[in-house]
Amino acid sequence: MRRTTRVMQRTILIPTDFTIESLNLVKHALHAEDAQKLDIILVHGLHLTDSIFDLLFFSRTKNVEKLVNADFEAACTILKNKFATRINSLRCQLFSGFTQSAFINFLEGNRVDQIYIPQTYILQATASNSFDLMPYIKASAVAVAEVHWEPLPHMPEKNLLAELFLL
Amino acid sequence: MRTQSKIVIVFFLISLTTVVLLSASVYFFINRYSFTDFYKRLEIRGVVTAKATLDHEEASQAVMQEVRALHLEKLPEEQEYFFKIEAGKTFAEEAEALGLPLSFFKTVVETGTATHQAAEIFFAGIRHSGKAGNYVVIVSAANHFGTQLVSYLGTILLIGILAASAFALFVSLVFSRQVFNPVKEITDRVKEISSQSLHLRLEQSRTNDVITELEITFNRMLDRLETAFETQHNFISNASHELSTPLTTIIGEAEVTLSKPRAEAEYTEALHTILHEAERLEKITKSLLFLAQTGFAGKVQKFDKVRVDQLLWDVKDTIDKINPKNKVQINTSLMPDSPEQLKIKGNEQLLHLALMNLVGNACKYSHNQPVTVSIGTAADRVILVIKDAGIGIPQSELKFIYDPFFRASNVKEYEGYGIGLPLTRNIVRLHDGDMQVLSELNKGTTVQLSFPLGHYTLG
Repeated sequence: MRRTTRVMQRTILIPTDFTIESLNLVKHALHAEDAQKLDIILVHGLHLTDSIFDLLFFSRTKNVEKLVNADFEAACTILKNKFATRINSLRCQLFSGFTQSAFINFLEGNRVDQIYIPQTYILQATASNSFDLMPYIKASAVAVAEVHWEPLPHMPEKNLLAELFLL
Repeated sequence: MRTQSKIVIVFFLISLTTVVLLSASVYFFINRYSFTDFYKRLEIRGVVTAKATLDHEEASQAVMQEVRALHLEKLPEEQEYFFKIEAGKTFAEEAEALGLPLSFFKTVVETGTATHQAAEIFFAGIRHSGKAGNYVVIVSAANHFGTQLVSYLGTILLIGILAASAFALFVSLVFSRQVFNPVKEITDRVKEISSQSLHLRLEQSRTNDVITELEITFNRMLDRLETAFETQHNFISNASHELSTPLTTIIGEAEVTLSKPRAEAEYTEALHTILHEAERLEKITKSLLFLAQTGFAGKVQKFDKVRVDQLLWDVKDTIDKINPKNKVQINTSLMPDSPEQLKIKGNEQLLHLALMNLVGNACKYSHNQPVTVSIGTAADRVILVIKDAGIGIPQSELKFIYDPFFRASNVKEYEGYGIGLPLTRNIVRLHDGDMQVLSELNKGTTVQLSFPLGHYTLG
């Protein structure tokens, strides 16, 4: 039903490894989506620590800040500025569940309409306790679109802000 | 005062204060405990004695006397006194006889117990109520053992304080020397480094601490100093070389032409060569002058709002006129729609010149292969990325690219003086901008520029 009429607002989920190259998914998603307004959630799988002390002082925002570097943040702002009229929100989130139902809950909680995943690009494990979200995404009931782009040759500007312009 | 002596004094005072405070409190509490304990003993003796002598029952008296004989050793100078309490009695005589204040008796009568110390002798008084009536029972004795213990403790603590302060002084001296030794070593080694021996570096200790950090920072500063010295040195030699080459050509050409009479065509050709070289000279001196002007912060440039996208199209127009074969593409896929996010505060002529230099270089060193110029806006900076697929810059030479007259080892076949990049960097710096040159040999070069947004609103 939803696809038949032009939907005003949609939430899309995009797995990320906090590299500039992974933002290619956002670019593709923005071109593929026909919705007026998009809420984009960049999600990264990160196991929670086992240490009681770390858990006592646990903060989701701080954890995200640790993973995100300045260039990635600047790249996100560039995208937001470019698509200012279409991006309603663009935020980074961590998923730290273990089970498929936890992931389904996460999708429902965020009202995700569509997921975009890379076809050939393999998301890196950014932190030592990062984990791959692909099995969870592929087993979920939400519509999944695969995006293909040619693997980028080695460039001097790898992982620097300039890379975003050349994707 | 020297920092080292300051540290010694502070360290010493801290240790001394701690030891003195600890000793004083030990002395005070032990002293108090010994007194209280002794008074308690005297009181117990008073109770037992009173029961033994004043109780009316014979059997109980006998038991108490046995207890006294068996368990209560006679104290030094122990004395016992009994005074019957009668209505209207003031105890004035007794007080005088024993050398006790009248208030002592009063306290005993009213509260039941009292203590008093007169010189070496300790008095404890209790009120005893028995069948024979109410009595004031006073026991006095000398606390030889307690006094000795306390004075012995005092001597030990005093000697302890002296020993500890001597030790603390010694340790603080050694400690301060330990702390300042590395700094002294660094100073000694730095003294050896002069402008003639800038290649010398400090040896880095293996421990990872503040001193190592200082050494690393110092070495980095030396690196920069050395580069700056070299740059200056190279600048003079390069500049004189660049200026003398055309001059030599002009002089040589003129001398050869003048050596004998020649046909008119030959004169024209010689004059053309001379003109060409003179023009080259003029170009070099002009760009040098410009470099000096932009590098000099004292001269205030006129700054106004500049739209970066407009500037880029202007640059492309100029490039198209100068070099029609260029393949410069302007990538606007990430350019924000709102014009506020494209306006910066700057001098349009200077920015135009800087971008012309970069885009021109990109075309020149890639034999007119496609050059992409992208534009985007991050939080509060406009980002420009100029990418070419040219010959690149060798990694080892990247740090010299901003030296005037420096030319990379792989640009022999291209014309140029090596003034463009330093000039561009000066201009970018004038605009509080940031310039990053990333390159890989034979793959291409990417230049990333960023300028702070001017925060101009519409209108």
